[in-house]
Amino acid sequence: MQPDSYGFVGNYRWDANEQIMQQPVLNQNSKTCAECHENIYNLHEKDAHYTVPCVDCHGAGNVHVAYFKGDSLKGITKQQAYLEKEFKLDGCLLCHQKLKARPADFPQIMKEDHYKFLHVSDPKTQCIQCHNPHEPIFLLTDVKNSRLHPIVYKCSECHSKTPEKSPKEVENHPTIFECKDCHAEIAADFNSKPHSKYIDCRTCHLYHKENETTGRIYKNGNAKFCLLCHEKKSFKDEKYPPKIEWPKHVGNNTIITKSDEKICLNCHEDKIHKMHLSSTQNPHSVNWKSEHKDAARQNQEICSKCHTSNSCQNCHMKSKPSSHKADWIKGLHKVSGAKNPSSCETCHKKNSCNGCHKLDMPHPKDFGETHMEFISQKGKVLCNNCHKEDFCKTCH
Amino acid sequence: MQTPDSFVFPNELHVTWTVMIVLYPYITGMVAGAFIVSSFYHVFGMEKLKPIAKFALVSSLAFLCFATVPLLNHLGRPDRAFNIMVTPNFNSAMSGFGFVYLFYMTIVVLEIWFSYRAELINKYLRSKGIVKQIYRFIILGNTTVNDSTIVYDRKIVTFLAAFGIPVACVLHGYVGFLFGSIKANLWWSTPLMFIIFIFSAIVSGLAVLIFLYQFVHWIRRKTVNQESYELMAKWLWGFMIIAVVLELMEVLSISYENTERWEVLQLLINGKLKISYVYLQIFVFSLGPFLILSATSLIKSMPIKLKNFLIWLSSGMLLIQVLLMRWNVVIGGQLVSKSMRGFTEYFPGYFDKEGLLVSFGIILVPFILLMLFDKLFPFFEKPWEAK
Amino acid sequence: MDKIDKIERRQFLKIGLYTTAGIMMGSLFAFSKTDREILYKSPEDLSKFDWGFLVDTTRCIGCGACVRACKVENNVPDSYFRTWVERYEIDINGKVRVDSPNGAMDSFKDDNFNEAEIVKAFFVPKLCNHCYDSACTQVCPVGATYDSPDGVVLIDKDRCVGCGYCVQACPYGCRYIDHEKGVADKCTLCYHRIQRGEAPACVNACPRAARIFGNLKDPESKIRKILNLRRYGTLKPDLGTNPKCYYIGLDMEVK
Repeated sequence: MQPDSYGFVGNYRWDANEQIMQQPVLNQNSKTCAECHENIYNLHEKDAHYTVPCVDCHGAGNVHVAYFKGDSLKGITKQQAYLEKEFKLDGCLLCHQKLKARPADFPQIMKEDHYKFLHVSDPKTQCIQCHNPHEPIFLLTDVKNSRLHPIVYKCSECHSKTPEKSPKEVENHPTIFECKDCHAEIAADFNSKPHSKYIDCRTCHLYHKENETTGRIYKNGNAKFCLLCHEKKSFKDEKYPPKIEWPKHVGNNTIITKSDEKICLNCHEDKIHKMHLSSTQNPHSVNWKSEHKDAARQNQEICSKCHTSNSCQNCHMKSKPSSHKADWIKGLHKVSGAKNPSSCETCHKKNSCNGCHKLDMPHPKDFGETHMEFISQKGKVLCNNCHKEDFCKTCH
Repeated sequence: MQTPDSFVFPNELHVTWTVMIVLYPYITGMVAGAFIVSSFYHVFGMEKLKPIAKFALVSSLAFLCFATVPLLNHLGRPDRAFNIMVTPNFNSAMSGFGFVYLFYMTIVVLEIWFSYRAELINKYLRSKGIVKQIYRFIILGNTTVNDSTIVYDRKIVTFLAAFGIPVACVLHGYVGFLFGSIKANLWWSTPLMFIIFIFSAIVSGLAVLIFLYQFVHWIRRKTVNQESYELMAKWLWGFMIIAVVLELMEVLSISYENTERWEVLQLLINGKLKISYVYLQIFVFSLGPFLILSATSLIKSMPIKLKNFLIWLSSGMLLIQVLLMRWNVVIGGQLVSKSMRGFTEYFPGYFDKEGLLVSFGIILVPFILLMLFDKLFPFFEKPWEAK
Repeated sequence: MDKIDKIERRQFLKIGLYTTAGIMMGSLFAFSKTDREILYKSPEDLSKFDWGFLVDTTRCIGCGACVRACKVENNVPDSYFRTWVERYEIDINGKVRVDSPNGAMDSFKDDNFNEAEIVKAFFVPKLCNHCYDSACTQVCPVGATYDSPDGVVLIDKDRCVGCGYCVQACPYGCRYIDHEKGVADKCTLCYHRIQRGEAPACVNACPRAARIFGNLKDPESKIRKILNLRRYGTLKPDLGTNPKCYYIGLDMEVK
C-alpha cells in the first residue's frame, strides 16, 4: 500500500524530493544573458543598475534562451522568443517611484517633480528618452570598484522640515557627516556657483549606501551626464536650464565624443566648483595624488582603513589614468616622466622607457659626459624624438 | 478585507476551512454525545434511561456514518483520503483520525448488533421472502437465543459500552485537540479546547435525543416516557451549564491575562463575532435554554404538556447553540489574521460545493438514515424479552 | 549577488566531485538542455547543506520584482503568494499602517499617510521561513509535508490530501491550498533551482541584494558571514518554530 520510497529517509516519500527537483528553471541568470549579449552586459555591469538582474525588466527569458540556443525548438515561434522590454515609465517607477518606505539613499522620484526639476514640458516623456536603462546615469567609475566613503547624511533623511538649529547646537544630536564637513572648500565654492541653487552634491556624486557605516560615492563628469539636463530635446523646456545642441555645440569636432571624461569641465568648470581638493579636514593633502604612493608603499594597511583592498587597482590597473589622453605619448608624458619618473613605475615596468627610447629614461646623471659616445654609436635620430634639431646648439 | 487600519496576509484573504469543517465536529459531537447517553443506561445502570438507550445507540451510528462526509467534501483530493491510514504521520494530531474513527465504528456496530440480536432473530423467524434473507444476513445465520445467550449478549454490550465511553471522548476530545493545539491561531490555541468540545458534544448528543424522541412521539401520536424524558432534560441542563461556563471561563481567562492576544480577540468578539457569538450563541441560545431548563427542572407544578414542549424547545435551541459554537470556533478562529492586524471575511455561498445548500443536505441526511434504521431496528418497541 | 554566486558555485563544484554517483543517477533522467544538471540528489549529499535565507529589510525598496519572478517561476495561482512584500508606515502619532496590495505584485503606488507625517517606513519581504521545527510538518497527517535533508520544508504533491491543516498551523500565513490541484502549496526555496546551483528566483530577481540565500553549514558562505556580523531577528520566535529565514533590521511592528 505504501509508496516504494516511503520511509527511505524520513516519514515521507523520498521520490517526491527528486520530483520537485525536476521542475524546469524559468528565470534566467544574468550570466546566461551575458553569454550572447556581452557588450550590453558589460555596460550594464559598470553603471548604477549593475545590481539589477536582466529578468527584472526583460522577463524570465527561458523561451528566449531555449529558442536561440536551439535546444528545444519545438513549438516556439520566433515571436514568442522575443523578450519583453519593460522600459515604459511604469516599469521604471516600480523601483523609482518616491515612497517614504524606500531607503532614503535609493534614487527615487515623483514624476511631476522630476519633470518640473528638469523643465520637461511633455508629460508623456518616457524615462528612456534621457536615461539608458543599461547605463542610467553614465557613471565614470565602475561602480563595483569605486571607493568606499564614510556615510553621508542629509537633514531631510530624518527631519521632515528643515531644522532651525544646526546639529551642533542640539544636545546629543547623533553625529552626522555632511559633504561640507570634510570638503569645506569645495562646498563653499560650489555654493557660490549657479548650480548650487538647483542641485546638491549628491545629484552628481551618486551615493550608494552599502551598510550602516559606509557606502560608495561616484564621480560623474562625462558629457552624457551633463547632457541629461542640458541637451536640447523636443520634450524639454527650450530655455531653462540652458540647452545646447550636441554635437553642434562642440563644433562638430569628431574627436570629442559624449563619453569623454570631463569634456564639459574643460570649459565650464567655473560654473560648478573647483576640481581640486585642498580642504584641511580632508585627511589627504592637496598634492595627495602625487604623494600617496610613498605613503602607500610605507604602510598599505593604513589605506585599507577607508579603502577596499583592491582600490589601488581602480586607477592603476583597470583603466588608463585620466592624464593619458590620445596625445599623451607625443605630448605631456615626457614632462611628468622627467619630473617624477617613478610615477610611471606604478603600472609600467621599470625599464619600459627603453622599449621606445632605446636608452635609460630619464637620462642617467652622468649622461652629460657620456652622451657623445652614445650619439656616435646610435646617431642623432633617437635624440630628435624628444629634442629639437638645434638642441645641440644650446651648449655647443 | 483590507481597510485602512487592518492588514491580513495575502494568503489569508481566503478562509481555508469552510462550513464543512463546522459541520464535522457538530456531527461527531452528536455521535459522541448520543453514545455516552446510551452508556448511562448500559454501564451505569440508569434504568430510567432504558427506553431511550437503544435509540441513542442507533442514532449515534446514523450520525457516525455521515461524520466523514463533510470532511471528504472539503478535502482537496478526497480520492487520497486513505493516505491517512496508509502513511500516517503520528506527529500530527489529525493522523489518528482514521484509526479512531474505524475503531469507534466497530464498537458501535458490535454494540448495536449484540443489543438487537435477540430482536432481530425474532424478526427473522417471523418474516418471509427477501426480507427474511436480509435479516438472515444481518444475524449472520445464528438463530440461537436462550437465557444464557441473552445474559452473554448483555455482558458484551456492557463491556463495549464501557469501553466505548473513553473512545467516544477520544473521538470528540481529539477534534477539540485538533483546534486547541494550533499555536498559530489565537482563538483556538488553548488546552481547554478539547474539554469544551467533549462537554458540548454531550450537550448536543442529549439535545438531539430529546429533540427526536419528543418529535417522533408527536408524529406517532404517542406519549413519551415522562420519567426518562425529564431525567434527560435534567442531564441536559447540567451539562449545558458546564459547557457554557467552560466556554465563558476560557474567554474570561484570556481577557484577564490581557496579553497581546486579547487585544486582537476582543476586536474579534466585539466585531466580526458580535452577532453570532455574543448575541446569538451566548445570550439567546445559551441563556435562553438555561432559563427554560431551570424552570422546567425546578417548577414542579408546571403542566406536563407545557413542560414537555419547553424541554423540546430548549433542546432545539441547544442544538443551534452547539452549531453556533462550532461556527464561532472554526470560522471565528480563521477570521483572525495571523498578522494580528486585521480580520478576513467569510461567507460560504448558497450553492457552492461547500456552500449552505450542501451543508443543510449533510445535516439532514443522517436523520433520513435514522428513519431507515428505525425500520430495521425499531427503537421504541418493547423488546422481545418482555413478551 | 555576484560574490554569493561565486562562493556557492565553488561549493557546488567541490561537492559535485564527491557526488559523481549522484550525478550518474541524475543523468538517467531527461531534462531540457538549457537547464543545468542537478548536482546532488542522495540524502548523504543533501545533508551537507542547510539552506538558509536572510532578508535585509534596510535594503528592500519594495519593487516587487521578487514577487513577479516567483509567480512566473512557480506558476503560483492568482491571489495566492509564495512570497510577498509588506509595507509598514508609522506616522507621527505612532499609528501603524501595513499593506501589501496584491502581494506587491505591482509594487506600491503612494504613501498611505501624508508624507510629512510619516516618521518611519520600511518594506518587509515575507516568504516561507523553512523552520527547523516547522508547525506545518508536525501537523501534516499523511506525511506529505516534510523536511528535506538539506533543510527545506517541501510538499509531496502526490500524497497531499488537501486537508488544509498545515495552512492553519503555519503562523506566518505562507501556505495556501492550490484549488486547481487540490493540494497545499508554498515556497520551496526554488528547490529545482538550488539543486542546479542557481539562486532561488526571488534572490535572482532582487535588484538590491536584499535577499541573501546560502548554506548555513558552510562557514565561508555569504549568509553565514553576514549572520556573524550583523544583528538579526526572526519572526514570531515565541512560537518555537525556529525559523530559518533571518531578518536584518526587524521592527517590533513586524509580526
